[in-house]
Amino acid sequence: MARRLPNHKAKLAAAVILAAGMTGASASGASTAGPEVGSRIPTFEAVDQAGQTRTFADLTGENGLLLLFFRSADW
Amino acid sequence: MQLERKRKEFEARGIKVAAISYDTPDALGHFAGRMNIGFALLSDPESEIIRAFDVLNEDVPEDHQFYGIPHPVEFLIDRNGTVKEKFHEESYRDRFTAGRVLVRQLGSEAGAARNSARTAHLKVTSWASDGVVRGGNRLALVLDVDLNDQMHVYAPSVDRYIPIDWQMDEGAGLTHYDPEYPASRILHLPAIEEEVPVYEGSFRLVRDVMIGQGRELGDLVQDGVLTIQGRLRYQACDDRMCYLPTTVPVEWTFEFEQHDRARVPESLRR
Repeated sequence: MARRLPNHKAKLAAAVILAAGMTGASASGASTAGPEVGSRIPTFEAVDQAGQTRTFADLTGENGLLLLFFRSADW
Repeated sequence: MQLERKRKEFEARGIKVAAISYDTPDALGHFAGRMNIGFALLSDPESEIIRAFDVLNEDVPEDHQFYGIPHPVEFLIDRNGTVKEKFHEESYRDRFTAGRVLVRQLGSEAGAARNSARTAHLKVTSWASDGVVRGGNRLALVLDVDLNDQMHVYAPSVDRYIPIDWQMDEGAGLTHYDPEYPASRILHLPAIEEEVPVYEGSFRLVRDVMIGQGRELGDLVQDGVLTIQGRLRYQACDDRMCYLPTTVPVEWTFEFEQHDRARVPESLRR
């Protein structure tokens, strides 16, 4: 994730397809709740609360990132 | 948001904090302003990133308003994008606190809810990873034990002596996890030709507790203060003699916070 590649949208789409394929392979139907310890996270980009597009490379600190999935800011 | 209280402790360690939900950027902007949040809130309105990470909550029916929410998962990721730690609870209401990550993974000692007790053999200081808690929090409880000079206590693996034993009151609304005991030293007792596992000097015991939802806690919460109690039982010996087994009460008090029920303005809702 150190380098930024130009086509973020395509990368995200590829990551989504890859993840979907992995879910299918697990066959249980239940979520595995994400990448295991020691594996790489999928590439992503997202808009933040200030409207800025962010990627892992610009979110992380020199010793890493605590990334939290939460249900909603609304309810 | 509880994470905001701990953000600077992560940043002081070179670790940034970010959170992802299925809200729009405008809803996140409103929330960040209201809660005074200083880290990145990332918008994933189509749950694409949630699916890419394989953390979609599939218990929610597709036609439900809440479809698209993730499981409550936290990842500690190194700067190269490799997962170092993962924290995951099954219920959407339950959550490992950021304070627990700081204490158990990052060696933080900036805990809260400190209390000390002294006996003839040792001093025990109880503290916790968080001072403000709410229902569904899984946090770390800590006991720091400082033995008097020449004193030792027995590790859990000992035979025929009374080992140190951290007991917690089982009660409605609290789930206690097993304590983590540090590695012990083998003490050779030439007079009786024995080798026994002991602790000497200062050592630390850590365990998790899951806090139930408010009404499950009953009398444990009084006037907004949650009190959790337990005991440390041990037998101490020095190079001359062994003393009577002793039980020390230990206690943690927390500010008990209600869940945030405020919503974003209607125009920003999904």
